[in-house]
Amino acid sequence: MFGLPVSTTWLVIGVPVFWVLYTLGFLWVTRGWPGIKRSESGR
Amino acid sequence: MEASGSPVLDAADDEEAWLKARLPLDGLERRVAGIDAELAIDAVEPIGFPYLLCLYRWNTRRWGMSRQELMSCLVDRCQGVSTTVEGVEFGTPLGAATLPAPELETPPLERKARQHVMQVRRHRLKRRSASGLELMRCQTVRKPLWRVTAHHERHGELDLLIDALNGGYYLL
Amino acid sequence: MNSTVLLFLALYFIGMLAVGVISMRRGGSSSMEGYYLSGRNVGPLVTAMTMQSTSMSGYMFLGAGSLGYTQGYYGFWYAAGDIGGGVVNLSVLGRRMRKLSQIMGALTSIEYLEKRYPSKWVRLIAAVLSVSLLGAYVLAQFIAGGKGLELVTGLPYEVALAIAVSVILAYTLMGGYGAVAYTDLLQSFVMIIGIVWILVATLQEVGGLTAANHAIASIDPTLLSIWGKDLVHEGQWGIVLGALLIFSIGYMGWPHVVTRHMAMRNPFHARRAGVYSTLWNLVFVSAPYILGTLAILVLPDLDDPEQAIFALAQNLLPAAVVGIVMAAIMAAIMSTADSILLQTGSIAARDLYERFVNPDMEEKQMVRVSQLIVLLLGIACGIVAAFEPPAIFSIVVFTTSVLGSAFLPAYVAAVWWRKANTPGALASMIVGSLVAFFWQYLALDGVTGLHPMLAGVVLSSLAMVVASLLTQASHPVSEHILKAMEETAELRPLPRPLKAQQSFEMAHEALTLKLSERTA
Repeated sequence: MFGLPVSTTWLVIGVPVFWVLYTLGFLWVTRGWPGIKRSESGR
Repeated sequence: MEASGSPVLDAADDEEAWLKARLPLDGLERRVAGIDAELAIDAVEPIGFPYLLCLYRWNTRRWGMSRQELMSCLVDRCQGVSTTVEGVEFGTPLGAATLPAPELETPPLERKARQHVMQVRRHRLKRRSASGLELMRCQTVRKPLWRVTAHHERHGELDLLIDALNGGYYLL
Repeated sequence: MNSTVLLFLALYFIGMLAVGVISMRRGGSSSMEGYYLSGRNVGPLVTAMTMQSTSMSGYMFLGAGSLGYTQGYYGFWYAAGDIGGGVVNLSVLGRRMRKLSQIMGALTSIEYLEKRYPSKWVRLIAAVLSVSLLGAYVLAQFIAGGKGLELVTGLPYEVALAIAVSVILAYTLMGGYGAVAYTDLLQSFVMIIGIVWILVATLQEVGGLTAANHAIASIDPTLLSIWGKDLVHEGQWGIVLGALLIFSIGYMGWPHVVTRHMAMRNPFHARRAGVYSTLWNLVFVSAPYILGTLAILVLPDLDDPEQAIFALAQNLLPAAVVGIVMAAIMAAIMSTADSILLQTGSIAARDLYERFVNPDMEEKQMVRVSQLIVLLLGIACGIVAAFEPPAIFSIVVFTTSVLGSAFLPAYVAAVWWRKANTPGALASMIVGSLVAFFWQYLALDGVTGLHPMLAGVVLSSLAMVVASLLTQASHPVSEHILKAMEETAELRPLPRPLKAQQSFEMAHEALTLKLSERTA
């Protein structure tokens, strides 16, 4: 892809994908946290 | 200026100023319902948590004009945790309140308050102002808290600590 | 030197100064800076942007570019780690650490370490490490400032450096121009537009990414490999793993970064900020590395690889735009330098001088001490930058390795391991910093195939575990700390929204009440 060798493509695409998944995972694990507006009205 | 160095153990507790409870007893039910509609209050215990309230003043110079700034800091007399506060108001003590005994000596607490205010100033202004902090007033106060024993339809008995100043809650 | 560039550079600086003055007059400087410690709410987008924009500094524009230029796609190991750095920081330095720091009443990360691992040595070592390594980071910014100015004005490096350093020191000692939130935000926009423009212009110049990669392959195919030019790191997973770790977990060793997270009153912002951070990083972190690599085609004979990105801008962008973008970059470098210098001064004054020499210091004295440290550090860094400037990339990687190795186990174990005690913390900080330092200094990575960061983090974690276990009897963790830690653990399964919306600032009051009823 893009003229890059396979291993480089794995690095360039793979790690960012990992972080996207990690961020999604973080969102899932903290899904009980309300959004900003709700938390403000809670006080 | 109130004595800032003397230990306060002997001061009669009903002489201590209380911070104004913006959330009074009759507002509690609504607040608890606001936290979770399925919560129902079983019992309420008023608490007066011991704090040291320090008021600091300093001058800032901006473009040749001198301005006076004030900042108050509350330091917990049991754990020594400090918070800056805005809009300090005093009010009537909560009746029949449990009064936890203060455990820490005042001078280190005042120092903590001073350090905290200095830290906030540095952080806020990203510059160091010309004058030092002047302690204007230092007094012991009680902060009103409500300890609420409640039961939740699905989760059983819950013990909540509710801050009468801002309505914040904490699960005990 | 192109006079249009200089003209626009000057106009930009005047413009920023004007914005700064106007917003200061309006008294607007406190709203953003005050946010973290005074609990005011600022939208998460702005928060995330300021956090990310302060990381845009000399490293990004000079260091990362130089890595891309000299090592090709190998640089991506560092970039890849960096993309996740923000969200890792936000997720790991989670609510537990915030809660614990609030219960113990610590205002800064160094104070937090001393409270959790009671010992003046912890504070001393942490402060000394922080001041020295932050000082090294300042050195990197000075070099970046000097080189940047050299390229823009055509002045010789030493002169440009002297000017840059004097401006930075003057502005820091005078309190800065206020570094108003608005100028930070504005600057970020200019830099974003600048980077995107440079990227687009470069891609056009090389005929697209695929064509460029083919062209690079014909010059030297090893530049496309993940193992570096001439495959120098082939098979060395120990090295690349370390590279990946540096900017993913290394940021958690930076004292000012940790303090910022600790003081965030509203943990819910962490969620959104995490998302923005990842999105932002996906685009902007990789850009300088890629630009550096593409520069091999556009500017094959660069004397100084650190000039890669600036040179690309100069060659490919219209003069006016060059002026503005350069100015934004220079301003970013200067403001990073100013902010790090202030941090260093503040740590030296508060965690060293006030704590150990004179606890009853007046504010004025604190200011003096802080200014003195800034001056001394500035001069020392200026001298090193003038005579023997190391590569910016090396400095930043080095400081992050040492800080990360020294502090990571201490922070992580503070909330997650009840047996982590003071000797454990001391051991991990000492071992971590020494290992990372000497591994780099003695170039042991070449011998062992292990990156200093990897060696440092692993050995310091081991040190923490071994030392804590061996000294459990003689130095047990105090009851008071154990109770505070218990307080941060959520023992009962409770509805998440209920748990999550609690006011963490009340934790210390709750702890007091619980303790008193246990003894009653």
